[in-house]
Amino acid sequence: MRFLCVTCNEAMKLERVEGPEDGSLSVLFACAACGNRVAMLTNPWETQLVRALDVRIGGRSSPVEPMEFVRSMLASGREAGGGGASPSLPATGPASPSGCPFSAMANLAAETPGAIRQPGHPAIGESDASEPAPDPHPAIGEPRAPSGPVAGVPNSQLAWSPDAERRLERVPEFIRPMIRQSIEHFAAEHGYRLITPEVMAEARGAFGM
Amino acid sequence: MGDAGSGVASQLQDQTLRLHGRMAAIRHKVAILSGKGGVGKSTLTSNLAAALAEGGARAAVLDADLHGPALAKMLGVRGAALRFGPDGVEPPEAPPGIKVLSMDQLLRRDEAPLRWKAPTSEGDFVWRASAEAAALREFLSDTHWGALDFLLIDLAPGTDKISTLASLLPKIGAAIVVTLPTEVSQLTVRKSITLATELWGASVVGVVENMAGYRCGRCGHEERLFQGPDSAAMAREMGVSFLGRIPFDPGLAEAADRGAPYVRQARETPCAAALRAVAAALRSFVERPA
Repeated sequence: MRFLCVTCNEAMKLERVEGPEDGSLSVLFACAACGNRVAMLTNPWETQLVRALDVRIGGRSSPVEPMEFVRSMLASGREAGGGGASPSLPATGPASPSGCPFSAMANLAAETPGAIRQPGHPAIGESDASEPAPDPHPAIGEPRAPSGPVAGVPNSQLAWSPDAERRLERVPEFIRPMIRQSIEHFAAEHGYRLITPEVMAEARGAFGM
Repeated sequence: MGDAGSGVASQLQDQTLRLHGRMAAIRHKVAILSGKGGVGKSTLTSNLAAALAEGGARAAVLDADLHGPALAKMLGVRGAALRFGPDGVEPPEAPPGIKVLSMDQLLRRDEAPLRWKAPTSEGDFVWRASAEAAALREFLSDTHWGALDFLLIDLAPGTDKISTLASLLPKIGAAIVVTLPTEVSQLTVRKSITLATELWGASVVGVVENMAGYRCGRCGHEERLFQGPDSAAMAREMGVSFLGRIPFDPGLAEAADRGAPYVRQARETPCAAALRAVAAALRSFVERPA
């Protein structure tokens, strides 16, 4: 799998991998020509499929250990002499069998003008002539402009519980603003005023994550 | 064009190189398969290994039945822990010098089924076959087999297991297809022969008929146990070799329970003689001129 920068027609380079966190890997790619960046999130099944192939996203950083895969993947294995089991994936929240996380995010983008859409690149069939020229390459983690109104609770009335904020802190920094925004949209649409870990888990399930 | 920096293709290539490097020291890789369950693949594997080792061959067995491993028990090394040495995992040895590797040696408890760690068990069919292929590859490539004459690989039932092994080992010395002289058994076995022939070539496929007959312990009278079709005729019809028949003998199962190959425990029985004859036929089969 590879990602191409449509503007530059260049293959994007892998920049960073974080996780798995709650079964999801976060992978950041950047275009070497224009610096444009995209983040890819995997759901637990996609993460597990990569693990099952015994390959490392981002490449290997340590030499291969004998039977490293079997020892790290056995759920009920016994310790073998001279080798310990590798750490397991952390437990995940409730999972949903529904679709791909990207489709959920794309839907959010479609429902919320400007939420996810790439700055400087209007959606197909949409004109952005009236919009001010945005910075085509905002820094990672830089907050985007507030999104438009959604049905239900206005975003301004949403609050995050301390537990939910702590859980959000576990999300890699470069995708945190997008995750925050997605969960706020989910909460607003479902009439929640306080975002708790339970609401986050529900949103995660709805996103197919 | 690369894959943006993960080097997945080169990681997979490294896995293949590791596997082929390990396999290079093994003269004959032999798959024991059937496609059908309960035909005696593991019993045949353990006894063939013992017969080959007693005949002076350097032999090892790999229990590729990850979900129903039995070879460690049959060869009496169930309690032996695997050790990690500089050249990989050191497999225990069963008399008379058979190296044994089985998933059984990695599972914690007798009643523990094989389970993989996963964030959720939901949808595990998506990745489980890949995980099992990766485990089998590691068993082959990360075990310190040393220089061997024979590595016998005991496959689980299911024709899909043949494809998995062939993807790891595109060339093998022999594929022994075990069948019973029954129509039901041969219905599945024929599929396995077709697949093994397509993947490895008809010249390496040989059929062994198990439970071929029964000799009365009191009077010595011999009877056919099943009245089904002749397995040698099936082999001929499908253009593959026939390597021999093993008579039914309850002592085989009792010896397996004790962890001792029957071929060493009851040397004078017709069954042990038949097992030695199949081992000799296998040896001739893999060492015949191309």
